[in-house]
Amino acid sequence: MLVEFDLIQRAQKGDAGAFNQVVTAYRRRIMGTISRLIGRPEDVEDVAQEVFIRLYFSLEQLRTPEVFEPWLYRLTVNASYDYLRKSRRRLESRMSDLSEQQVMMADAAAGSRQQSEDGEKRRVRDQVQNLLASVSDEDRILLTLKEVEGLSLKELEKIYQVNENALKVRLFRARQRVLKNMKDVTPPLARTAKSNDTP
Amino acid sequence: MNSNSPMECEKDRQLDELLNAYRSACPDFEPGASFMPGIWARIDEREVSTNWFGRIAKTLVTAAVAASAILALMLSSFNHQTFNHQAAEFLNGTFVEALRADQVAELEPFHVDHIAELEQQ
Repeated sequence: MLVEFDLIQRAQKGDAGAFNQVVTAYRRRIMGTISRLIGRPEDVEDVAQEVFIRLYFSLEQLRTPEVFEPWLYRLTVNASYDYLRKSRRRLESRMSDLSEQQVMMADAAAGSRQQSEDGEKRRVRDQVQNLLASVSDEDRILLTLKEVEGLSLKELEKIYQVNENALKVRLFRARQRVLKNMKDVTPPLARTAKSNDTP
Repeated sequence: MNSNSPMECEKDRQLDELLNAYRSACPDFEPGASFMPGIWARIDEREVSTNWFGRIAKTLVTAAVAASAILALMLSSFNHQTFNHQAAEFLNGTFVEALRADQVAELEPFHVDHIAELEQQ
């Protein structure tokens, strides 16, 4: 744990300073996780704030220190789900309001932003995000937590509140669905080696 | 579950590689200066709206309880009056009147007209 349980207990009792310290300790980690779960950097801070607000209002229910981190992850996953659901609805209504020309202009603007970023990292991010976008939110979030965030099955058990075997089955199926969509993906390391070879 | 072909194993390995590369390709997020003040502003906002809803809910509950109490009082006084009226009639009548009142209810389903019709047949 990044903080002592004593600090959490003080925050539970309404100590605003203690709550600030808890947020400060976890905010970078939570923002990193959110960015990988939702894939939209511009909204990461907003979703992270929502996570900590939910933490603030539910903190008094916490009894044991062991469940604090899985619980925080659970809040993160739930807030990300909510965001994805809302943004899908928003995007659908926004796109239906735009003319074809406006949509093309928006695409072009996004394209020029991409060019200015670090090429290889950007390519890997796009590749993985496109790949994960081809499966459901549930599959994507579960795979991201396990394979990218590196959470153990024990930790996932606490977050999802299901047993290890059920999780293994869900992970296997999610992975299979991703692999099914992974046809023309070039491995990042091979690509990098190839690009280094060329003068 | 694990009896995969060599091609599938290769794909599996590629996916692992890609996901590992993804982690390091994601930028670290440094929250802006308005991150903490933003959290507190949103907490305050929710507390205000929660209090407002709480007050409305309390008012509604109080009104419902008061209305129930008034209705209960009205019903009980009405029942009391009806009961008193019936009890007075019963107590003031003679034994014969009470017996008649009791038997009238039992005799009601029979119709004299029908019996007369039967006798004619």
